[in-house]
Amino acid sequence: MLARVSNIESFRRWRENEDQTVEDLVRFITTDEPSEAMLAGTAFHRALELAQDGEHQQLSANGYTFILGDGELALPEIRELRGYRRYGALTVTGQVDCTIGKMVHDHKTTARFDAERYLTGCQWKFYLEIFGADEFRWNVFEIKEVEPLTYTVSAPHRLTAYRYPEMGEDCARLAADYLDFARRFLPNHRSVAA
Amino acid sequence: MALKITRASDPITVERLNTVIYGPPGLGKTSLAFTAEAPLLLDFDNGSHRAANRKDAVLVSDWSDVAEMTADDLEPFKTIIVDTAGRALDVLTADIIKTNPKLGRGGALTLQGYGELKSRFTSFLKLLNSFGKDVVLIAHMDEQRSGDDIVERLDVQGGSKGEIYKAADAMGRLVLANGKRRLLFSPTDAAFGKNPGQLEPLLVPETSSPSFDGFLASVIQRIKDRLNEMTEAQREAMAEQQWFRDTLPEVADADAINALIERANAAGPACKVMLHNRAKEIGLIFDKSEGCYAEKQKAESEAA
Repeated sequence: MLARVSNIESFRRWRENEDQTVEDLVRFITTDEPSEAMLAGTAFHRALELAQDGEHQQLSANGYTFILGDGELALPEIRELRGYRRYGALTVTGQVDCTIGKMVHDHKTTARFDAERYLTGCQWKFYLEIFGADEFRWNVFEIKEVEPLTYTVSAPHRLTAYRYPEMGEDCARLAADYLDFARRFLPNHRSVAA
Repeated sequence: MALKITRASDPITVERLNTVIYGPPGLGKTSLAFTAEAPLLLDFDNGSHRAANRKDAVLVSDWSDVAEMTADDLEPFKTIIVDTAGRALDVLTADIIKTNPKLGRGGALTLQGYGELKSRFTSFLKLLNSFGKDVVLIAHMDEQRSGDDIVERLDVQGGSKGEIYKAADAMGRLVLANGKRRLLFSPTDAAFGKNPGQLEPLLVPETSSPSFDGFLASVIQRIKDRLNEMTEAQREAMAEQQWFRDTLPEVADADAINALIERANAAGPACKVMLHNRAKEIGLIFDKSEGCYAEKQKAESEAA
């Protein structure tokens, strides 16, 4: 079975949330109905994927326009790379925004920067595993819609996490738990887009 | 308003560190901090007198006590300790309201006041970093309930907590287990940590033990050594990835791709993915039985 890292993260958060039902998580994983915030985030990722070196007042992609705040962003040239790693019967896949050497960069758009949310998540751990990297850097952009399809973007918050000795075991344990859940509740779902 | 995009720069050798140590009250965080190399403790918590091994400290009752610090003032010291970061923010909050009463209401900051707090605290951390010293931020632990579990967080107010997470190169928590104090850097499901030093759980020596003196100094040095090993590994990995980026566009057939498999395997997952993507681009598929790439039609006819 194949699983996106993002779906394993959804599973991890679902386990911690007493109010979410199994049906909620199954619906979230199996339906592809992006919210406006997700569409804007996807467009911003696309804009950064295509961005060249230099100063930019604004970036555009997928019909969205992003008005940029002051700041500096060092972007590696290897972008949008998909990798895979097996955990028993589960293959976990993720696509990094950028990678360089043993460092992975990930862009996030959000209404409000919340460092604890990123550090608590499992995504960075799986990405370090999948790409054999040691250091994970988030570039977190606070975005705000000012008119339809147009957003202002803050200078990026930069947050870092590192590989740690028990990380592989933590990922393997979570992957096994997800596989158990998926076998019971997602038996016919190939939980990653083709 | 502009965002400047540059290429990711070369790795930099680590000479100084920001370390966050957090834990419950009364476990000896200040005593532990005093075991850093040549420390100066900025005592916002007024607790340095209780430390078992007190060294130089500045008793801070007003932000002006630290606002004018210069490199010359700090010249004799190698580690600056902020004890505690939460209390430092309280002192800074009082200073912000004193300086501009409109930023406070009923003793608490307004939304704009919180923005000012975050901005000035970030500037303060940058000032300490600019002196080229190691910085240790001490924080109390806040226990929060998450379902049936207790999760451990930094007890620091508002958005400034995010600045501490951002500034931290390493983050460890001091815990008591079976009557022994331990310093843990790895994160868990219930606690934050940053462990770039790949450190095992560390037993903190008794304060009366000769090995207690210099304990945190040795921990910080181990983290620096490991980070600098990572820097060297980063240089090598970057060079190898660049080689594949330069070479792969010139590779146009199965033999040439297959000749690179061993090198890509040694270079790591990113290079393997790049090789695989190039193979797909030129119409090859991976033949698992042969362990190499082949032209799609040929591989399919042989399989049939």
